[in-house]
Amino acid sequence: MAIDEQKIIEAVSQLGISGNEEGLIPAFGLYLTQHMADYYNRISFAMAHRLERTPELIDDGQTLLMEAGHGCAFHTFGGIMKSAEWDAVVRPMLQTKEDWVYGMTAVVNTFGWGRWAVRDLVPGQRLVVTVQDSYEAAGYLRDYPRSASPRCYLATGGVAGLMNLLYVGDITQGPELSDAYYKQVFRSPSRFVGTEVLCRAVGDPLCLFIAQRLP
Amino acid sequence: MGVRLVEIVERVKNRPGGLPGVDLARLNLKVGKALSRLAAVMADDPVLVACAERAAKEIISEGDTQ
Amino acid sequence: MSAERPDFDAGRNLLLLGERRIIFHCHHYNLFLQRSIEDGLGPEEATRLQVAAAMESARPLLTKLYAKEPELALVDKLLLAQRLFGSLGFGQADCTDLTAHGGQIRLLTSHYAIGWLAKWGTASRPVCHFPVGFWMGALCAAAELPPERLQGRELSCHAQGDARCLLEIEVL
Repeated sequence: MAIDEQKIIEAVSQLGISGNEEGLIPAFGLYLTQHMADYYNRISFAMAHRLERTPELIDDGQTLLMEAGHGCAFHTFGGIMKSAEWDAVVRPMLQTKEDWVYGMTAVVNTFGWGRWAVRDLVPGQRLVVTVQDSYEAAGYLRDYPRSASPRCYLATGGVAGLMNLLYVGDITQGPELSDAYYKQVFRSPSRFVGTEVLCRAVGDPLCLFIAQRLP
Repeated sequence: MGVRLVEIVERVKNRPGGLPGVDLARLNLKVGKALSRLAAVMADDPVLVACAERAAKEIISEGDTQ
Repeated sequence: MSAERPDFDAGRNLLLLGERRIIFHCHHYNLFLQRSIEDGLGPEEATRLQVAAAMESARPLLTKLYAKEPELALVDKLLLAQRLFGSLGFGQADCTDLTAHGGQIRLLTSHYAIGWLAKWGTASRPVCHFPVGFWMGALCAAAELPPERLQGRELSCHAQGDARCLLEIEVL
């Protein structure tokens, strides 16, 4: 494997991403924030808990929370993989399409989301990612009793979104990250969907995600 | 049963340029009932139909999903 | 490391500020999540939740930052919050009218308003719920007020077509 994760983490974490004179962080074709994990967790879990009072709506709430992760992957991961910073730091290490998965995972390891690691990657078929210190699971455990179900909605959508960018769309060709392209990728009958198989919020030692194609 | 509700669900599901799974989840949450799965076996209660119409109009008028 | 910049633990991928976790997210995620919360809870309850969550998140973080510089006067604490608000990417705020008795905050730019406009166009309701709660938390921590005494609202929002976002905090 040609990817030097430590080198990527060091380079990206030293970019000094911070608000400009207008208090905004325009980067990678979007506006970034360095946000408070507590905020995301409270609003996401409060809504999820409310919907759990109406069992028929639980899946719909989870669909939207994970869809937010799909959009995050498409726009943020996609924007990064098309950026000059990617070209300068990561692209020289890339030899195969699979390297893009490892390269992007290394970049994610500067976002403050906890430690992502690729456990298994079957090209075009399946991605297994573990996360230590997931902010979602850690936040859940801090504030609520042990959960009966996994709680890392963002990461579940994000892992699937990464595979969709590479193997349903093809981010390596530098497509425009338009709404139409999003629909093309995320409406595909062969798109990837994510599942959180292990989650610290339910008592597992770490969080583990699988992205695989729709059956 | 649920003729008007089914029609609303189909309208949301088939909106041009939409993401059916996302749009229907939004409809269900806005209405507070799993219309996308249960409309056919629910009665066309006027209050529920009016609520579903409002939600559908909002989802369709908002345009693109992402 | 500046008081307003998170510390990065590269081994665990943790960004910490005021002993609280900081994470990167983009406007697509932030606004989609916000709209989903509104879908799930309805606009009024979703607004209350997001304002409360922002206040709950910002208050302890800023309390820790203020504690590092105990000599700061109220106005200096609020200016620190203003710098933090901008450095985290939430927008350019002007809190010079804010006092221990409340007041208004002008947002010359707002991540949430700009993000909503970019993503979905003109909003039918104000969208800067996080900024309202952030500034309630900032004032609460700076003036050492009980949180129950504060109420906040957005009086005008750029996402609805107003030139600027204007927030108001009332101290009961």
